[in-house]
Amino acid sequence: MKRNLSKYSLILSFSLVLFGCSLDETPIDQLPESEAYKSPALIYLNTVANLYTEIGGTGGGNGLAGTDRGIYDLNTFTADEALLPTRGGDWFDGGLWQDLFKHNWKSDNSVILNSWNYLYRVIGKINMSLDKLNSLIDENPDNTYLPIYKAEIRALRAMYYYYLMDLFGRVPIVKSATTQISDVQQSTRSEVFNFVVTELQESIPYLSTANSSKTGEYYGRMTRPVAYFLMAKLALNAQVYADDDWTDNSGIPNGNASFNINGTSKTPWEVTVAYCDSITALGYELESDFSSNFSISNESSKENIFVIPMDPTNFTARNMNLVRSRHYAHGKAYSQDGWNGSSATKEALAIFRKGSEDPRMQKTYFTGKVKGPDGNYIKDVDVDLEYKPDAIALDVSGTTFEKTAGARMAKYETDPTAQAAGQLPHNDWVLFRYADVLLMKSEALVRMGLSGDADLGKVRARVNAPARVATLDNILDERLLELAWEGWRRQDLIRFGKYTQPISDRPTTAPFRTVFPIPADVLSLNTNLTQNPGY
Amino acid sequence: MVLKFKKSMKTVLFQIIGLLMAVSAIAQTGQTNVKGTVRDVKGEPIIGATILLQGTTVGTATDMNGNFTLQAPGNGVLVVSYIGYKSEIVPIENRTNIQIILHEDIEVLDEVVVVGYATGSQRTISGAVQKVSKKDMNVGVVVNPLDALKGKVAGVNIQKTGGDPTAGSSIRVRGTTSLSGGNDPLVVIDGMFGDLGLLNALSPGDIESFTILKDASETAQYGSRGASGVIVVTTQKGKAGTKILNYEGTFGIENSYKTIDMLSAEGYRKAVIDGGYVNALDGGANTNFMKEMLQTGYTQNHRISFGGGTAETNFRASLGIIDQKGIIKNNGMQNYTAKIDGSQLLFDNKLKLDIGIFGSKRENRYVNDYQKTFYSAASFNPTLPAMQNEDGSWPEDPNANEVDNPLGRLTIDDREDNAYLATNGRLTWNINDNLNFSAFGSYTYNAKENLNYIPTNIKAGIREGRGKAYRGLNKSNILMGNLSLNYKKIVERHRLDALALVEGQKYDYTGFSANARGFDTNYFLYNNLAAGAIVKYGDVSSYKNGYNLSSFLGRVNYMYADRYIATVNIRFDGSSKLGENNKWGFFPSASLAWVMSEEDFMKDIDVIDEFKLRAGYGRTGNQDAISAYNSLLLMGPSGITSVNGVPTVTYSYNRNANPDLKWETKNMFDVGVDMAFMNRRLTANIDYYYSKTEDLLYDYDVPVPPFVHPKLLANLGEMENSGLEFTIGYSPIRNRDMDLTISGNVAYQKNKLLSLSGTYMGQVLNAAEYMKLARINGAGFQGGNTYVTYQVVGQPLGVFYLPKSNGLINDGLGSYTYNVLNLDDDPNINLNDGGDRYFAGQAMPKVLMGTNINFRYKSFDIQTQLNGAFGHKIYNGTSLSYMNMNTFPTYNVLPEAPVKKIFDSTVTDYWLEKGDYVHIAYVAMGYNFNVEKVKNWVNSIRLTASVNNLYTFTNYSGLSPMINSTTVNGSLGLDDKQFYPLTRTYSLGLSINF
Repeated sequence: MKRNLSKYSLILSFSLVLFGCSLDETPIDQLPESEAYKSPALIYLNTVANLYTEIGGTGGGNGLAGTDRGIYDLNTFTADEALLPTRGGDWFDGGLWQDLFKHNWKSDNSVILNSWNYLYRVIGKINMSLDKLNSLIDENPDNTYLPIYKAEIRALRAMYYYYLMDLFGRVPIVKSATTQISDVQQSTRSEVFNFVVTELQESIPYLSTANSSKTGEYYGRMTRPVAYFLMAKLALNAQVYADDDWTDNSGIPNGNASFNINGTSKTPWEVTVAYCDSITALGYELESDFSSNFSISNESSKENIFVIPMDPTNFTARNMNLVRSRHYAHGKAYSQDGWNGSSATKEALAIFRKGSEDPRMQKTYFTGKVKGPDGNYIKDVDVDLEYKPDAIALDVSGTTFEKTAGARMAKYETDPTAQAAGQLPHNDWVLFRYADVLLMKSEALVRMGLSGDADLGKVRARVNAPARVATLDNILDERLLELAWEGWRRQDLIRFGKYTQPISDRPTTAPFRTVFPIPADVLSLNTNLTQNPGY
Repeated sequence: MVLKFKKSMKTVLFQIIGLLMAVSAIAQTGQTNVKGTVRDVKGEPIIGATILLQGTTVGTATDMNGNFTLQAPGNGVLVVSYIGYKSEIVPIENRTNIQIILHEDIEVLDEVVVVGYATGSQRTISGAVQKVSKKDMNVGVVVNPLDALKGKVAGVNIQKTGGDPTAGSSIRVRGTTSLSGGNDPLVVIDGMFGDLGLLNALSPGDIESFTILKDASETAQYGSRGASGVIVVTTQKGKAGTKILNYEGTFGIENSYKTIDMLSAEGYRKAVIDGGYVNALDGGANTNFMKEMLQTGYTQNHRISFGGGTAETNFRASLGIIDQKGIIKNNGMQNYTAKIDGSQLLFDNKLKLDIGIFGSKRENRYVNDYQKTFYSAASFNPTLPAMQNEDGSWPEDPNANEVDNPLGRLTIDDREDNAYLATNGRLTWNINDNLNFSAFGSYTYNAKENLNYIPTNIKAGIREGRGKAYRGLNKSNILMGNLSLNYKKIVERHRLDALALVEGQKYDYTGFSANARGFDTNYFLYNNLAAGAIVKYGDVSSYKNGYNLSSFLGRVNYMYADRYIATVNIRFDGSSKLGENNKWGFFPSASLAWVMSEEDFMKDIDVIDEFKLRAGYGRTGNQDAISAYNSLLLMGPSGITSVNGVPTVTYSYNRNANPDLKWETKNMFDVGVDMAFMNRRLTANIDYYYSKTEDLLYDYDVPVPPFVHPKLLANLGEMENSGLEFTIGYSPIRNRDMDLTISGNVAYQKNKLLSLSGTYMGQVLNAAEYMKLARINGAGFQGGNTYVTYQVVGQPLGVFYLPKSNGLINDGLGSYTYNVLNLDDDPNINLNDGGDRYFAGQAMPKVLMGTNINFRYKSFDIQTQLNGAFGHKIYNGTSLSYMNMNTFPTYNVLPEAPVKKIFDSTVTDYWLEKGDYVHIAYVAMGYNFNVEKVKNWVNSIRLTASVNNLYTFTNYSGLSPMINSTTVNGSLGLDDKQFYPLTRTYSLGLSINF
């Protein structure tokens, strides 16, 4: 028996060899780290280029703009420019949009969480790329292109921190992908502001001066004019960003900021003007046709500075805003979707109608009856579809114009060849453009006590609007007239101290609302972090 | 000789006595030709029963019809025996034709039970193991194996939602013990590891028995795979000394017996006028769209099996088809199966070879997107006509953006072809009487092809951009093999059974899919994707991945004096999916049993046949929630953007990698008692178990930053489950003409999420306080406070966390809203998580019940089953939506909605209802024909008639309380506008044995 057993143990040990399957994993449908950085082209692709896929999004809060339920919505539907009214069974969505419009959002608001997660996800990916580039530079200290890559994505990260600071104020600055949870600590808003400014200033010399809105090597990339534009925004809003107690002073920003430019101290207004001038010096100018910046082939615009490249089949970034705004029948006329949602507020309409109707009204909004691609009025079943701008309210349920109330988004040309039910058009989404530069400069000059008439005048003259004196009020109005639907209104109102002022369907709100809460999930997952005041 | 199944000690004894006496038999006088038939109590002939002339070696066996002929003296005595039956001693008394009835041997303790890798008998088992043999399985319309098992075993909850023939059942053994994945029990079919998909591919008629291993003292044999219970399926094999040809068939008609009735067109128009609505669309027709979608369904199931065997060779083959037409137009399922098993003994029975081959093809035609289809059917404007427009499009209400014309939706061609090929072979070498070596190997191939075409002329096709065709193929190749040594020895009162095993498993998955849009004709469907104009990034994809498992198992089962039983299992498992340093897991278990009824103090108590105490403890593992490569940092395609002016696909780290992934482990303690009284007329089992799952695998919320993505698959939390199970069987009547058996099982289950935080790579990870699970969908519910069920630490899985409403409140204008109560100190009502919400009940039943009643009178029998679930709640999202007048007239509402005038869709506990129910699953009647006149070629004919889904007793106000109350996903506890209408099936069945 004993002898037999040893024979059997031989069988068993043979079987060990037979069945000792390898427990190592060798994936072949995903790219392991060891393969991802093997050539200069792959290094560029996998540390820099892949970050640009993140600038636009496909929905659900991803993307800086163009998508729904993210940053764009926080900047648009909490201001006085547009709203997503409840229309009977549609758009109540558990109170989500009413909460945003009425400044009633709580820290568990999904749009706020989506925005936070998106911005930090991209920062996380940039940090992974930076860690990789740093280790590659350590291995090849003489390499010439790696520092340029690094500067480009540092500037990109600065842009993402700029959005975070603008929305959430006190956010943690995380600079490496290996950071531990316990090391994630909040900085004050002014610290974040200084970090963003410094990062941009250090990166700018490495950046190409190419126009990023044109097709070619630098299409959609972080180039010097994009960074200049960000510097101008940072400077113009410095009083806001340097203000660490935004709950005081009735919501009027009162931060103190100064800039150090080449060793000399400058006021934010001087710096704004300087960066605006730098952009002008790179050859940007206003398009003669206001609408051509948003046309199907807007890649040729001389005015656009930073865009999200879009194409029905070539790129994945989406523009959902036209679809979300227009009536069902309006979308159907193009065999596309209409979600019958976002509309201009009464306040926005009033600004467009101050004096005579602004020439940009019909270029910005669909009002009244609308023609379809065949040139005929679009039918809503058997009658002509007719938008009713003045019937708008936060809740139009049960009213006669429940489905048609509100002026709808018309700024971007409807692309009949768009894919994904209209969400994948040819028109690039415009993030930054030169008209804004002129308005920033005009505002900075006025705030310095100088005349901003010339720059304001250029913007108004382009659309044949009568000239106006560059007062702060006129400039704020002009920023809506020119930049409606472009995601700037919240920031502008905060800078002007008007974000919390009462409008239709919203009484005065508290100044703490100028900054969004740190999402409840983030707080419960990282107990180092503290909530913003007021929430 | 394979006496595999039932072998009673008594039978052996009689055979031996017979042989011994034969030696001394000398003279035989007055021989007559004695004929006879051997049948069981049900009148079915017993094939292969042994007839011995007492005291001689003269004997014969019954043929296919149970008949025998024997030369015997008129004063002789026949000893009739058959495995599993009590032997009968029948004096001939000069008769020439003798009818003999054998009674089943109720001493079933020695029935062979497959306990995982080992085989034992009820007598030697010390864990909680339950066997359901063919005769105990459900009857009536049984189209998949889980139908056959449903309601039979305490703690095994099988649930099917709605009457869709393409929908599978869910199954949970002792509740949900894992948060993500791996909650389905392991299915072992003739030694092959499979999943519910493979089980569903089998024809239920091919199954000989199910053995359910519930507690970890036995499931630990399967280590990494056994945490959620194990279902061991043994299929029918050929039997020595027999020839069979069998046909079984059922045909049934299926009807909808309950749908949601919305406002009729007439009622709709009246409500429009009464409500003063100006926007209502009137298409001039009167349509009940739900009715228009219905058809009379049918279900048919045919199976032919044949086989035969000698002492050394046997085989069995079967062919089957199951064909079901759903009650929704274009909905149906066909399953074709073929199966062949064979075995051969060689070299003086030293070597045995077994082979089994199984192939199936299942074709499903789905109702595309339940929610969209049934939501559309209910809320679509009833004044629109039930036909296409002249241009081929379907009438639509353009304002009703969330719903489509439901009849148009039914033209979406959505299919699945699912083919299985499963083969296994085993070589058993009986080295000596005590020791055998076995080598087992299996290969399972599965190809699942999904086909989908959304026509250009329906709303969904228009918005996709002129139709959309999809084709996707997913293939899996699973190789498995094990080598084992099994040692059995009985020395006096010691009985030892030991097993050593080494096993390897290799899983390979590949697949691809493609989409095309932009069609100008619907002719091609999904058959020519090149006919579509548009293919974008993301429209084509493919993958290949896989994983390996290596395992070692040792098992010892020891019994002393038929009284004291101990079983120990030790298993090591290694999985390639786990983190570099955590590949191996150790899964031990032990159980003890004390058969008190064998002790002297109880042995003489006649009324007690069996009294056995059991206790066991074991640890099992789970890694099913992990996909291949989850522990590695890998780049995958992340989108397409301009790189150097050229559209380029970029790669990105698309998820958080967790290099520290490890086994989720479950420790389970079980204590039970098995009892039998009054000649086993009354049997009862009671089991209590407690289990704690640790290192719970779950997609945890992690802080962003520093994490890049908000979810991380990790091992952090803990969960506990406990339960009490009762099974009772009682046969008050058991005689030649009449049988009555009533059996019932009840399981109490309790579950609690203990923790969702822990340490990950040296960092403390905290859980989010409220993890959202299921929310209401549809118009007006996109986001905001629309979640209903949650996962919250300290609560059971799937807990309702809702604002509290004390009823409706009149806003003074004749319309009503839900009055939400303020539950905290904050003066404002806050519907958000952490605000004015409370824990309002659990989604999973606390008590599950199954009752089976079988009654036979002579050749006629009747069986019925009642199932029930109690102690849970259901959120009636259907009523919340369809009672909301805010959506009217764009979306249709329930008839009482215009009366109740609720203008509110706030999610509160107003529509949270008790989910208790008792369901009469079926009533089936059978009749066994007297085949005396045709006995030369027919053995038995049995005719059955059954009604399935007879009635449900419930106070739940929705369509059916039988929603998803078991599976943790986005529909747990939520009835939300997507219920397939309830069906009732009337069927006739025929079974003929030749």
